[in-house]
This record gives sequence, structure tokens and C-alpha cells, in this order.
Amino acid sequence: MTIEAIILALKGYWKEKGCLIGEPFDMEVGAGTMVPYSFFGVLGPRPWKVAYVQPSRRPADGRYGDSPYRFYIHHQFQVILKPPPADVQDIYLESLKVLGIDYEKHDMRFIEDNWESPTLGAAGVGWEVWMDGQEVTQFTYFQQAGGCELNPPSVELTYGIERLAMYSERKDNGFELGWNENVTYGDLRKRAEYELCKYGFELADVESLKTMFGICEKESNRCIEAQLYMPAYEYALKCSHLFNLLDARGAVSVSERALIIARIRDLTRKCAMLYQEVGNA
Amino acid sequence: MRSLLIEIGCEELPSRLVKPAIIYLMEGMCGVLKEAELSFSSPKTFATPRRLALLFDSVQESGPSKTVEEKGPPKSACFDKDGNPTKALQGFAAKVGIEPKDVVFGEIGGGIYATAKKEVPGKTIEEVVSSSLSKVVLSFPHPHSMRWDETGISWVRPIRWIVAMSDDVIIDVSIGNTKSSNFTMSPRPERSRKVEIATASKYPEVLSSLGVVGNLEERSEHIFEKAQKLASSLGMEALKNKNLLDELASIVERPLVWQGEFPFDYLESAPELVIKTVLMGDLRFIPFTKDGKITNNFAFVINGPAQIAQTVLEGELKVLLGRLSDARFFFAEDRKKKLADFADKLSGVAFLKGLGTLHDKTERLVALAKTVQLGVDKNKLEKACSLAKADLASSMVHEHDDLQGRIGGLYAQLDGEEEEVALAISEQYLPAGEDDPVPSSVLGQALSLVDKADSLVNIAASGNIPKGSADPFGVRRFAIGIIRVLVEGSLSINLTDLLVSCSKIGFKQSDDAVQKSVDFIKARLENYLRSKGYRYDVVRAAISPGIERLKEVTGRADAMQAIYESKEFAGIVATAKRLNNILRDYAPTGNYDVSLFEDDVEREFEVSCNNVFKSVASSNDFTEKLKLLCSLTDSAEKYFDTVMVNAENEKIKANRKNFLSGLLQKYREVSDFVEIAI
Repeated sequence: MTIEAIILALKGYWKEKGCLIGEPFDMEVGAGTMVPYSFFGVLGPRPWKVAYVQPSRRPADGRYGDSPYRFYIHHQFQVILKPPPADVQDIYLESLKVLGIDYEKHDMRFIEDNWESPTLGAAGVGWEVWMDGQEVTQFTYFQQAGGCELNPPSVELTYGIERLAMYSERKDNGFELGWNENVTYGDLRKRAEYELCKYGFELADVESLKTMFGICEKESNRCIEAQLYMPAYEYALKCSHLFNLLDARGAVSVSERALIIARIRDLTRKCAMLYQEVGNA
Repeated sequence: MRSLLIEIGCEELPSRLVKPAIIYLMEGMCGVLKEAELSFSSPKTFATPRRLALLFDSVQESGPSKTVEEKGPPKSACFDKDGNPTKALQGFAAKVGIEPKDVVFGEIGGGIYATAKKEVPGKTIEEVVSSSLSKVVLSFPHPHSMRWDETGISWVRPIRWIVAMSDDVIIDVSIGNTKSSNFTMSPRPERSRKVEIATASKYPEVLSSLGVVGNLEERSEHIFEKAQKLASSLGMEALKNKNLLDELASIVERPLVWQGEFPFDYLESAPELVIKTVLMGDLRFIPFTKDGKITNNFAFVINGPAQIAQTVLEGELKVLLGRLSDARFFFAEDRKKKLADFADKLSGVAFLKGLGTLHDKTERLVALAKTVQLGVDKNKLEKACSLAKADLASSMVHEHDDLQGRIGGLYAQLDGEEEEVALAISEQYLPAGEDDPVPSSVLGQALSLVDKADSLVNIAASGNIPKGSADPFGVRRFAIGIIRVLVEGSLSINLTDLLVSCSKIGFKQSDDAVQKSVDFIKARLENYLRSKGYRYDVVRAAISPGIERLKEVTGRADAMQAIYESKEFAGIVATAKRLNNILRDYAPTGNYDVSLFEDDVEREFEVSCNNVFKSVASSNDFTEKLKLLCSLTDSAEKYFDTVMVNAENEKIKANRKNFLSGLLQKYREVSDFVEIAI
């Protein structure tokens, strides 16, 4: 199946299961979890089901488009189910069928993997789902976000689209995948991967990035004071991406690293509190 | 008698918790039955990632009934002024089911009360299980507890079904939203379906019919037997690794053991050490060996039916070849340089949080190799120290961190370093776990020791010696490593001197780092010796004179333990305790003066003591030392019988006490016999 077909099939499946089908968030994020649909959606008691694709950028993972399976930007299909249904594992396994994967004919394993995002003050307990030794999904019972205990918890499913497509099309190189029948993943992404890596690893100006980080942090705090959680959170996300860029550039020392993470966590924590106070949680 | 079945069904447990969870459940439920005085046969256990089950073949249906005395109203409130029973008495009589006239009065706590004997029937299996199963299950202690629904209960992973049956009767149990039934669930990968259990004793058959090998140990053996069979059909051996087998048994419940092979050329592209790590660590495959060497054949375990084996093999092989290609690439990259070149990169790698870089650490190790007397070849140790941490900057260790040390040793060997140096580097992290040996060579022991001592002292200096159970720096492991290398290895060094040397060149300076390290090692040493079967009082007596030389501590403990029951030992202990008692609260005021002794007995005793302790000091054998002390027992007794230590003349009294203080001190230097509990 092409990338396009996989995305459409997953959207169709989860729409049927009652999820709101969201569109990708229009900012740089390192993972689908950072998208407001997930980060704010899991807070508070209100039931919430959502599914969406999120292009996620991790500058340090980029390989100039040379690696067959490591990308600066990859695509996550993210599902949030709050509260989680009792047969959530079965519902998940069934979803593989729309991708042409008959899970009953594979060795499906749920291998312990507890997940933590220090910048989001978020943590979850769950598994990597392995199919015949290959990781296909991250399956997490979200326990905490923005430093808040989640009540009820949510299940977060993260499918790695490129990984699934490589399996489905039996290709060892991600850039050879078809985005649709006529256009390959490489046509769309290869040059961009190269340029983004060139910038991230070599060109990015450390001083400017650090200055931008300071400005974004300040704006985020100003918004928090004005009780505007969304712009505050958006600036926190910008901080997070700038930090990732600095990190890829090798400009963050070990001791600095912990400090910067703590500064971002402080912002996201305040945003989570504010959301529960003034948002419609 | 009834049979009793309990099955807790859950989403996949972390593999390392399957075994502790079933042990906890078994002990917990046996405890509950015992407390209810229900006799029971020892249970069969079943433990897989998705089910924890106990089957008792026979459990007593209900516990013995008991007579209890019920306390009613005080007598003064039982009758009105006409002597008729009051409402209170009538109520009490009705409650216990007798006529008011049959109520007996008795004294309870000084007052007179209405009482009645009441027969309380023993609890039934159903009542016991129903009221306690949830508590037993939920109290299982584990890290990373999780919640999964709005009830807020937490456990290792979501609990999805419960079977609780006595014979064919369902016992009512709820844990969170989950209620008991007589249905278990089918194993993966087929779509989940309920499977009925007609009666408790049929459970093993139901599991077998589903292909589930329920017992954990049986499953582990089953996996190895099948692997061995496949290997021997190829004229090979399946590599037996207990940790791997236990892990495999803990991640599958319907094991199918299958065989595969990878292209031969991969075998030659990377060292055996690396290939083994990829096969066993990453893929959890069981490698086949021939003539002790690894081959390109292996067994792997599928959680499912034979029909899917070929598909699974294709997928697994793809992953394996990817990993082997990576390993080949990393190895080739690493080998473009010498191990020493990696050492140059260590200035960019943090050692432990707040404790500088690995470059700093390497410089300290080299300095220690130069200055500390360890009784090994200084040049070789210096070389080993300078290269010890280099592999931490290699791609191979970056990918497979459990290869640290061993990769360094391999690269050192390939670089043409001396065998001894390479081996020391390779074994520097030993002993990492309880089952690990200490390094096999003296040079390796020396490297392991200075590395751990440096870590411990620096962590102590930064104030990070653990107080509770949390130990993020792994300090306990360092301390235990130091103890084991010194006790089980062949180095003979002064531990305190080593720690002082470490502290002098430490990354952080702190006045109490050495003392804190010594205290921490001392506490671990007590546990270590206790676990080796030494009596607790012997351990204390042996540790008390000091832990500068650990072999002396074990020498003292061995000598005491060997004669612990003897009357000779009792004599030594009695003398030491007598000295201790008479000197309680006495602070010596100086040396004693023989000319102030008044009695021949004390003069003779002083001479014997001097002679004995001269011999004690010149002996290195603790059994011998005890024997010598033993020869003093009689004269000590005579001394105490004839000499009045607490003489009226203060000067004479002080003189005697000063003499005895010195004597007690000498006893204590041999071992602190006052600690002995006989």
C-alpha cells in the first residue's frame, strides 16, 4: 500500500470507531503527542477520541536523505482514546487488517516500553508492538501530561507510517516508497531531507537559535500571564524545536541540556494548568 | 475437599515481572487460606505474559467453626426496677438468638455484662477467595504502576479477565471493572475468544488444547529441549543461556521453536562477540554452535501456531540482517582507528552527572595506577587504565552498551596490545551481577577495583550516596564489586589507603568522602557476609576492628565461625565481656604502672598477657590467634577472682583500669568479641 492509501485506510478505520479525524498541526513538533489534540485532549475527565497524521521532525535523526530508514521528518499516525475501551488491544490489532496485515498470521508481541517526554512533563506505560520482530506501533497508556495525573488515562497509539509502508510494499529503502501510484516518497522528500539536514547539522547559527529560544520563552511566559494557554503553548513548542535544532548542531552540553529541558517543561506544565483552569476541560 | 482455580488475565506483563508476579500471587493466596485455617494441597502455578494462575487440587471447603463470646449491655441496664428484662437485654438476646432468661452474666474488664456464647461458622473457600483475591493481586509491589480506566485502580498492566472457581462454581470476585467468570481467553495471535472452563480441575487441559504451556519453568525447559533437538539434527549444539531462556519463556505462552539460518558471510564480517549480542540480545535467538564456535544457524521462538512460522521467519530474518549489517558497518568504522584514538574523544563524554567527563576519569585511573601499591605490573596497569574507557566512544558500544569493556578488550587485542592488558580491559566491569565472577586475572582485578573505588569516592564527594532504596548512580553495585574483588580475588591491598588516594585526586573534594565510602562499604559488607552464611554476631565482631584488609575480615569471621560452639571460644568471649563490663563508662587516664600492682596474681597476669599478645601480633593466622587468646582465659578468671579492680585507693583503681583498658583494646583488635551473642 502507498503512504496515501495507508493514511486513508487508518483514517477510515478510526472514523468508524468513533474518532474525530483531525488534520496535522501547523507547527514544528517532534512527535504527535505534542499536538494540542493529544497534549490538551488527554487532560481532564471529558471523553475524547481523535485520530490524525502528524509530520514530526527530529533534526538529530536526519541523515541527509542517505539512510534508507532514518528521516529528519517522518510521519506519525496518532490515535487518542479516552477513556480506553476494555478491548482496546483487539481494536488496535483489527486496525492492522485495513493495512492488509492479517495479525492472526503473524507473531504479534507487546514488548514492555515505558515512555517519557521530559519536555512535556508526560509519561506513559505500555509497549512497542512487534510484528515478527519489527516494531510497528507504540502503544501507551498515558498516565501523566504537563505534570498532571491523567484521570481517566488515555490510550495513545502511534503508527510509524514509513515503517508500515516499507513493510507493506516490501521495500528496504523508504525513499523508494510510493506516496501514491505516480509519485515516490523520494520525489517528495529526498531533497528536503538533504537541505534540512545540511541546515540543522552544519549551517544553523547557534547564537541566533539561542536568542530565538530566549524570545520564544519570554513570549510564552507573557501569554501565560495573560491566561492565553494556546499561544503560550505554541511558543513552548517553538522552544522545543529550537532546542532540538541546537542539540543536533551539537551546541548543547550535558549540563545545559538538563537546564533547557527543565525550562521547557516549566512552560508546558503552566500551559496544562492554565488549560484546565480556563479551557473547556 | 474442593479444587480451586484462580486465573488473572491481563494485557502483556513486562517479561521480568512474570516470575515475581506468580510467586507473589501464590504466596499471597496460600497465606490467605492458611489464615482462614483451610487446609490445602500445594498449588500448580501457571504464568505467562497474559495469565497468572493457581490450581489447588484440593482445598478444605470451609474452616473450623469457632465459639466466640458476645458482649451485651452492662447488667445494670438489663433489668428494670421490677426485675423485668429491658429493651436492651431483649435486643441483645434476639441478636444472639436466645431467650432473655438464658443470657449469662460475666465479668469483662471489671464490669458485669450480659454475655452469650455464639457459634461462628468457619469461612468457606468462596468467602475467603471472594474477600481477599483483589487485595492480594493489587498489593503486588512493582515499579511503574499504571491506571487504565476511570476506577483509578492501578497494577502492572490492565487486568482484563478473572477466573475464580471452586470445582464448577464461580467465585464472585471483582478487581476494578473486571468481574470473575468461568471463561479464560485464547492466546495470540488469533482473534481473542472466550474459552469455557467446565470445572477448575480441567484448567490444565483447557490450556493444552489452546497450545499454551502454562508453567514458566516447564516452558523454559520446553524451549531449550526443542532448540537442542533442532540443533542436534544439524550436528550442532544449542547455546544454553539461562537469562535468555527465562526471558523467552516470559514473553511467549504458546511456544513454537523453529529454526533459521542467515547467510554465511555475515558470520565472518564481525567478531563472534558482536554476532552473539545481536542474535541473543537484539533478536532473542538461540544460536547454534559447532565445536564451541558460533554458526549461522539458530533457533527462534514464535508465539503461535506452526502455520505462521514461515511468515514470521521472513520478518525476523529481515530484522536480523539489518542488525547484522549495522554491526558489520559499525565494526568496520571502529576498526579504521586504534582503540587509543577513541580515548581522545572521551573529553566530550560525561562520566556521571556532575562528575566531569570520561577523559577526567581516565586521567584519574592512570594517576592511581602510578601511585597506588596494588602488587601488579605498574606499566601494564597504566596501559589498561589509559585504554579502559576508550570503547565508550566507539560506535559498537554506542549501539550495544552491554558490550562495554568487552569491545575495548577485543579492539585492544586487535591493536596488538599485550594479552593481559586486553583481558583486563575486557573484564573491568566484572562482577556486574550476583552471578558474575570477579575478573580472572590479577590485572583485571586491579583495574576493576580502582575504577569502582574512584566512582564510589567521587559519588560520595558529590553527596550522592543513596539513603533509601533509590540508587540512580548504581553505587551499591560499585561497593559490592569492590568487596567481591577484594574477598574473592587475589589482590592484597589496604582499602582505606586506596580510597584516600582516590579522594586526593577526586573530581570534587570533600572532607568526608572517604569516611562515607568506608561506611557504605561496611554496611554492604555486613549483608554480603551474612548472605555467605556467617552468623550476624560473628560478622559484626569481624568487621569491628576495621575493614582496611577485607581478607582479614573474612579470616576473622572464618576462625570464629569454626569454633563458635566450643567452650574455648565461650571463654574468650566471657573474658572480653567481663573486661567490657568492668570498664563501662571508664575513660583511660593514661598508661599503667606495674609498680602500683599490689598482688602477685596481677603481676603474673600482666606478664602472660604481654607474652600472649606478642605472639598474637606476630601471627597472621586467625585460628592461631584465637588459640593464643584461649590460653589467657584461665588466668583472666583467676585475676578477676582475686584482684579487686575497684579498689578503694583511687590511684590503684585507676591504674588497674588503665591496664585492663589496654587489654580490652588488644582483644578488640583481634575481633570485637563483645558483639558475640553467647
